[in-house]
Amino acid sequence: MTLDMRALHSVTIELHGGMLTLAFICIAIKVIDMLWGRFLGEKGGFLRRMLLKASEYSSPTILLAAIGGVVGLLLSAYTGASLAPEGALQTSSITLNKVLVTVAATELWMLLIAFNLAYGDESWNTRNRSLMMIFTGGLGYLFSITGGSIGGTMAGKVSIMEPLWELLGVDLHASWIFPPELLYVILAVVSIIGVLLVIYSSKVLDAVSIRPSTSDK
Amino acid sequence: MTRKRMNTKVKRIGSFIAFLALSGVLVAGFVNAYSGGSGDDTQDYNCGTSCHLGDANHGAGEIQVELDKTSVLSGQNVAVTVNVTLVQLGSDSLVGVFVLGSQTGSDDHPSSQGWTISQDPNGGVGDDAHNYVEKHSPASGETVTFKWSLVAPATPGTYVLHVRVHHGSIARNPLWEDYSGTISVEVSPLPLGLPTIEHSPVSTGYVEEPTVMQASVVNATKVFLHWREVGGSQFKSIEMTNTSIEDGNGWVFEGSILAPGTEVQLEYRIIANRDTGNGPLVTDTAVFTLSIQERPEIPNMTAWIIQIVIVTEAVIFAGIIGYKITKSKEPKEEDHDT
Repeated sequence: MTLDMRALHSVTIELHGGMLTLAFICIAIKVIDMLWGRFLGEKGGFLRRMLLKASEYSSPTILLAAIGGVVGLLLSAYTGASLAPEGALQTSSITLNKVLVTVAATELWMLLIAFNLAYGDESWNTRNRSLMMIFTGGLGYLFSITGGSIGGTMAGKVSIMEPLWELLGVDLHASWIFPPELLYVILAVVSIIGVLLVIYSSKVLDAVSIRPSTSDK
Repeated sequence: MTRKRMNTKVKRIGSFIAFLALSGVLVAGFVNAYSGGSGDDTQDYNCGTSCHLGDANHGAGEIQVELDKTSVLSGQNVAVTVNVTLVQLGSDSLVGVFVLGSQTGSDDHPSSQGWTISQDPNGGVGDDAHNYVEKHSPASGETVTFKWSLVAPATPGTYVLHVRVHHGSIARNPLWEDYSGTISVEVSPLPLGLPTIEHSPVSTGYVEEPTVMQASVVNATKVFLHWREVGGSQFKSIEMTNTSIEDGNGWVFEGSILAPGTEVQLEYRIIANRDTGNGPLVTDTAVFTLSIQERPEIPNMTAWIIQIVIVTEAVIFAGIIGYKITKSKEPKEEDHDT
């Protein structure tokens, strides 16, 4: 019996698509819960109680679904790579863009998982932590569906996101998804932030090393 | 209920939801019978997944089959055109058509009868020429055309071909139907001295660039390349040049089609003549489809590296900054608590 990689790729696409959508829906439930709490407090009776329940169930589901989604993303990257024509990475801009977007999605979802594991049950109990979860999950999901849209285009099918790309002037077939001028500025800003982070971290380390230890007191 | 017990319950329910979602996505793939298509492939009468079965899933489309010739010489080409008109298309608007040598469920590929597929409807040639091909339908009720070029078997005789269609309904049922008519081709032996042409079809050309056609020809004095736009009225023609350095199994002739300035579908065929003094002996290939496209951009690796560095750096720094910000404040100092 031979393993049909195309069928396996379809299953892994469904796996990460379903899992990440579940995680995104749960993040959306958390956001609605937070907004409700901020503007309406505990008003709302049955609907509020239902939302609170759903919000409680959403927290662990986000972690599980994100892990399942990342596993699905990695598996579909493997199955997709084995289906791609030989030399596609050297000859096709859209294939390279698919890799780029999949890498971005995987990194963002892994960041969300890392946060969730670091803070556990307290991942959503401060505004900053909630914002971090929403930022990583939301952006990760956007990159995931962009990857799906590129995959659909590569398979010769029509993507429902194509009107959106046309509206935004984004060309997924080109080497530069965004204008190079903009990307050079972003690269410069990101690199400066990186340098500042290194300087800041070394100062913190210095401060820690010169502080007298408790045993000296 | 204590907080610990509540958390355990929440985790259990979350796991159950994730399990249901995982099961759902896995099962959905089978229930919908590849709603995104299974891709062009080599398939028997009942395809590997056998989703399209049973009277309840019998479709009600109209299938028309045309042959460019019902009688062909051994080793020559015959074109099989299948027009499928369906009103039951699902939201994916995908139609898959098989051309088959038999309907037994195994060894149904036309090659089992001695046929060779030289070009499939999606332009697949050589090893990529498939007997099962999928195309998108523009809309329900619109006709979708599939055209295969087949090389006739070496053994003369009467051969029967079959056509099967797979598609989905609006209710997402995996529908199927067979062409009920008979597709019969009479294959005759090659007359002595008749020119023969061996040609690997070219399916893709680029805008404003010449597409070179090559053919290995035996017993011919002149070879011509004819082409026109699909649906056009008249073929243009050039005489192909004998580029052989030395005599081999056949003379190698070359000719090129200069593509127009826009993306278009062309069709072409090669004709070989031999003047015997008692009238010419003529052989031609089937009409092949040549898709003229814009030449794809060569990827800019520098652009890709810069973009992937930006993305990775941005995610790492966002993680570090995010962790420092969220770690630096105690939950009780915050203004929100869910």
